[in-house]
Amino acid sequence: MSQVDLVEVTKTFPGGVKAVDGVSLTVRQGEFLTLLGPSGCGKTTSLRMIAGFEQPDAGRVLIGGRDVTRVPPYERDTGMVFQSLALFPHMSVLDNVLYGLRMRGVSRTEAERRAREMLALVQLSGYEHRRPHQLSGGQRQRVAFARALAVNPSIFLLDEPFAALDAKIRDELQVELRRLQQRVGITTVFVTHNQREAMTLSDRIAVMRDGRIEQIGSPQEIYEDPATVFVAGFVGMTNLFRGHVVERAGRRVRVKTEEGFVVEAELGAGTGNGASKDSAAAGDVAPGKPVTVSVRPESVRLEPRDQDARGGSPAGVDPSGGGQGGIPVTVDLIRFVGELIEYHLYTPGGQEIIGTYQRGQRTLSMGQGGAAIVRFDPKEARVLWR
Amino acid sequence: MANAGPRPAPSRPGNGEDMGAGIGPVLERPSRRRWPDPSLALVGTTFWVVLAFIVVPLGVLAAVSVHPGRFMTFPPQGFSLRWYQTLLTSSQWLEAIRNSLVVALGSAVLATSIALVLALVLDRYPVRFGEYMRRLGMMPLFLPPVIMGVAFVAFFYEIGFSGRIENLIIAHGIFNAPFPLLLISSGLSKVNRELEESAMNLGARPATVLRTVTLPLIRADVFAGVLFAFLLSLNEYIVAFLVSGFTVVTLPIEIFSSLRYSFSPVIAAASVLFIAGTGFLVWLADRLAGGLWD
Ligand SMILES: Nc1ncnc2c1ncn2[C@@H]1O[C@H](COP(=O)(O)OP(=O)(O)O)[C@@H](O)[C@H]1O
Ligand SMILES: [Mg+2]
Repeated sequence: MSQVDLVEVTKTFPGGVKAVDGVSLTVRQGEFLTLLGPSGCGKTTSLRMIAGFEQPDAGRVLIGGRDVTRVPPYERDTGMVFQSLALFPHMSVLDNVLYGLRMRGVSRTEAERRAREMLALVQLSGYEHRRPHQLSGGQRQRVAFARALAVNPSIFLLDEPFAALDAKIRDELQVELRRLQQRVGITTVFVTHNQREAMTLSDRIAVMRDGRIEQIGSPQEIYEDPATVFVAGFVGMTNLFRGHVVERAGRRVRVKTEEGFVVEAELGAGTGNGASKDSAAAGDVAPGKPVTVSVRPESVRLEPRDQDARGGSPAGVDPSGGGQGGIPVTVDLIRFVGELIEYHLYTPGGQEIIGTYQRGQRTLSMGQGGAAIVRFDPKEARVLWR
Repeated sequence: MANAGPRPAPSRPGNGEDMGAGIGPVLERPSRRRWPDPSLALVGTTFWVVLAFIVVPLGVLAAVSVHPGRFMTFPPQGFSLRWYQTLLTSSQWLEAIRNSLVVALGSAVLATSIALVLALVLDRYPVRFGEYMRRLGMMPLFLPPVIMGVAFVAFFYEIGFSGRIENLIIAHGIFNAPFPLLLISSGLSKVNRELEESAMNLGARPATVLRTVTLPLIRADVFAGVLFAFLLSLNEYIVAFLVSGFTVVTLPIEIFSSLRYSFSPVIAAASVLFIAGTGFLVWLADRLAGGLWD
């Protein structure tokens, strides 16, 4: 159980791809931290540098405070679950789990006791003598967990372990992984491009983009206070309105959108606090500055609008900026998504806005093609740098 | 998502999966075709003709080998195993058989070792000029055996080391290395690199990874390589003849030189024995390739 530190780590591959670009990150002892980002953003490379399979060009890797930058993988004491799982096909389940213990010189009987204990922990007692190819996808996954954890590593590393599984088993295993991690209390770095997976599993999430970390925070912080437009768009669904600052009073900012509507939003705690170099500080938000307002679909509120008042200034909208205006829209589509009702709306300029309501919540009696006004509580809208 | 589930069968060129799907229904329901496909008929005919060309001479040879008389005669006048007896008691023939087996075994092990080291190094490490080294390893495959033979003879003569069985083992070891090299390289390319990394992650040093993961995963290819090189050496005449310098006589050399001076059915008997041995090895290779895993 140790802390992991990446200090200003950079990795450029032959051919010039800068896979990881000046990443600094601390994974606290016993924490479950997720590296989240789109494919190709450098998650796997970061993980492989912690495990020792890649050497950084610059920067340092510390495990438990010890500099391991030049330490080979077999002396690093990490337990890794690979994307392909990489179970040894020529060994039984038991021998797979025994492998690491044998490498550490644990006696045969002690190793076997420990391996069986691990297999029991992942509910695979009775499967000891199967070969990996005789197991289901979920069972193979659990063997990989057991094998990585059997040697009691100080760090647990997982690279998109659930990518190949179907949704139901994936859900079960996520719960199981989290339970296992908490029971063992091991420091864990988990890699995924799936934001839902990251949200449900993690203590903290580091959102990555183009080899850099955009923001680090708890799932709630990341969702409610995204530091950048990229984070807001990548973690959960959001509506983005580009515009310019009209007026600012403390955290409250009035923004005129590109379509000319005036909306109010607040600076979040995360605004400008991202780890990324190009997110300027929140203090720089001043009249005339280009910004983007992010509004989550569940914060979008619909009110009826008189369709005749379409020309000029739409009803209920005050372009001068007096009070809280709104954005006139037409309802394009209504979808029922599980327990949510999803409204797809269009502004006069053709921008799509999505609003969601819980089923059973009071909604508008309005069908497709109906006219409405979109409003939102400024406290639930975030001002971000473009 | 869209292409999950059963797909319609039209075969799309260039897509192996779809080609397979297109062949499936044809194999399952051949009755749908009213007329035999002319190209299939051609393939069938060719197969039987080729088989006849292989089997008939071998049959003749086997028949000749049991002829009791002193000269090869077909059809045989009677049945006798005396030539087999001669073969297995004559010191000359036994010596040839022994030499052949020693050379084949030694050179097979040598060829496979060369191939294994080369394949591992080229596949696992970023060696400079690696591609050229691989081509060098493959070169014997493209050079005429006569030239290789002459080169070996000159080389062994220069270092004052000629006419010994070791020469033949070395020559065949190098000459036959391309085949195990091809087999082992293709085996290695199918080993997922993450398996080796995973072993390392569990604490195995590189040498241990090689012993416990990489080699077990390619052992079928290594065995196939040994068998292949063994067979090739057993059958090889030209290089063997040149390098042996008349002092080391292998079975093919003995058969060939006997033919020049006599026409005894013992030659046929030797050939039959030879073919039986080869056939057994091919069968063994087949069994091993299928059964090496579980
Ligand atoms: N061994 C490699 N050689 C060259 N480029 C690589 C190598 N591994 C990864 N890359 C490149 O580095 C970038 C980051 O890759 P990776 O860390 O695998 O991303 P992720 O895991 O987030 O999808 C990608 O552009 C990828 O193409
Ligand atoms: Mg990856």
